[in-house]
Amino acid sequence: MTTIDQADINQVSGASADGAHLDIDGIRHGDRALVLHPAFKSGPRAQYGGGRTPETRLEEACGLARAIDLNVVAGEIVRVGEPRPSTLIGMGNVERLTQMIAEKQVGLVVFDAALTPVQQRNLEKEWKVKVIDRTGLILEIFGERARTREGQMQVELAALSYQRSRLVRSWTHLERQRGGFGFIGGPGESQIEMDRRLIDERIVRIKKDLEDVKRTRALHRQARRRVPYPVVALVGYTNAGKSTLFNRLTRATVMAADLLFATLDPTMRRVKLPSGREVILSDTVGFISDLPTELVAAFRATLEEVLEADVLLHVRDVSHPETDGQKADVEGVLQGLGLGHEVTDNMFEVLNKVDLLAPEMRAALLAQAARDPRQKPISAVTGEGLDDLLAAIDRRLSAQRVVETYRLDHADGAAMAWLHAHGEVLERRDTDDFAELTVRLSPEDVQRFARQRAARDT
Amino acid sequence: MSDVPVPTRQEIVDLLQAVLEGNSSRLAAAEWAAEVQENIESEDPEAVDPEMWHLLRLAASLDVKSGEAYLHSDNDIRDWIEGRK
Repeated sequence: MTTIDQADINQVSGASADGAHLDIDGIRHGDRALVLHPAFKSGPRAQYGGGRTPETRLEEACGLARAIDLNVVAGEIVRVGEPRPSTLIGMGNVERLTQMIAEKQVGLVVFDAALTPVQQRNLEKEWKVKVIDRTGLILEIFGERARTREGQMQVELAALSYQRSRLVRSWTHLERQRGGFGFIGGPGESQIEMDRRLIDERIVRIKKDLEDVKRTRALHRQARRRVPYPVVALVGYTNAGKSTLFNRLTRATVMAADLLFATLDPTMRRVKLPSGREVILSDTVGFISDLPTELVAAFRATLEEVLEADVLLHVRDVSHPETDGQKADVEGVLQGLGLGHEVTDNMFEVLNKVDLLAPEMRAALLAQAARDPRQKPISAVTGEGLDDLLAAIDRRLSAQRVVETYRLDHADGAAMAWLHAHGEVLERRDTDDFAELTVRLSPEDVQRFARQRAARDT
Repeated sequence: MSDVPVPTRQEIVDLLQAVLEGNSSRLAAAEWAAEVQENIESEDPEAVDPEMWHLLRLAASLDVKSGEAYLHSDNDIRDWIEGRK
């Protein structure tokens, strides 16, 4: 008879009991890692888009590996003519790399691509070291970064979905048939069936817990809507400088490191704009190309909230050689979340890191931005362009609201209260006959107020 | 008409003070403030105090979290009480 306890579940799911740290493939900090980027000569995977090159993809993959403190001892682009179903890369490369792995005492190979479970298992057999793919690596990073209970559960759910699809790889005893009394598994249930069942049970439990969190989140969402300040949300490719900008504008000390996915849980702070108007600035998780679908699904609720912001700042690292590709990736994720014109109309492209550009590139970028009021060149490090950015946010928010003047009976406390509750009363003038209120309101509230008054007057 | 009486400015200040002193939770205070806000059908002109409404709107968001901390710190609440914000 086999007993199932938390340790079993952890072993299967790769998660700790509290879900705080995912250890999908037994990765340890400081492991000597070899990072491989397979460059396909043909087929759909040969296309990078946005001017991406294998070199920059490899560089990004090394950055991802370093983000969880792996010791990257080598990185290599492996040319792939025809992907091999068994190992993805050709046998010549597999054999050559076997030697390199031994020489450099590599303990972990990171593959910057999606590997099938069979490919992963075969490569591990050949190289006798752990192999993880891009999705596994990103899940590992997210697992380390998640701080809130919800974030931890979201990552664990994503990791479990990933693990479930790879059970074939994880176990060497898959064909073993279990007998026993069948209290837990049916007679003859294979190990893989049991593993799958354990994962499914865990997924059900997390989804149930997440439902509870979702209810809390709905309450939080309602509460956030009650915050009497507009929300300005930062989005952007990972390491674009969102947290540096956030800290600069709020004088906060959110972790802003030269690390991919330094920020995972959303953070908010109040910021005063030049007009004196206060807004809430919200820093969110960064995006990345080929963001695992499991993660997008798990973080959907978090990401969707970004779209509710009054103003969206798409922070871009314009000094990065693949800035256009990164922009396309971010826009792709936002569109997948249902980004509509009502959001894009209130979005600025914040062209960050202009201080790192060569003089001629910088001049060209500034000239281009001068022609497009949606583009705001800045340096979050030096502070260049931030006054202009804040003023632009101020103007945009003002444009979103209209100023109306209402004459109300002195006894009409309800209407006055409503205007105070929903708008910004700019001026009140009292005469013997009426009170005149000048109020800044959203167009929706102008209509609501008109409807209420019409209903009351009929 | 509202089921919830419209509070005075002093009542909201007292509530904020209670939160600071740990005599009321942020959640309970925010829920109360939100309920009042949603029930503003009062016909009482005395209720129309802009400062009161501003405080009420802030109080309704006392429970909003930023990461694991609260969006509004205890110092923010003190500032509201002292009328600095």
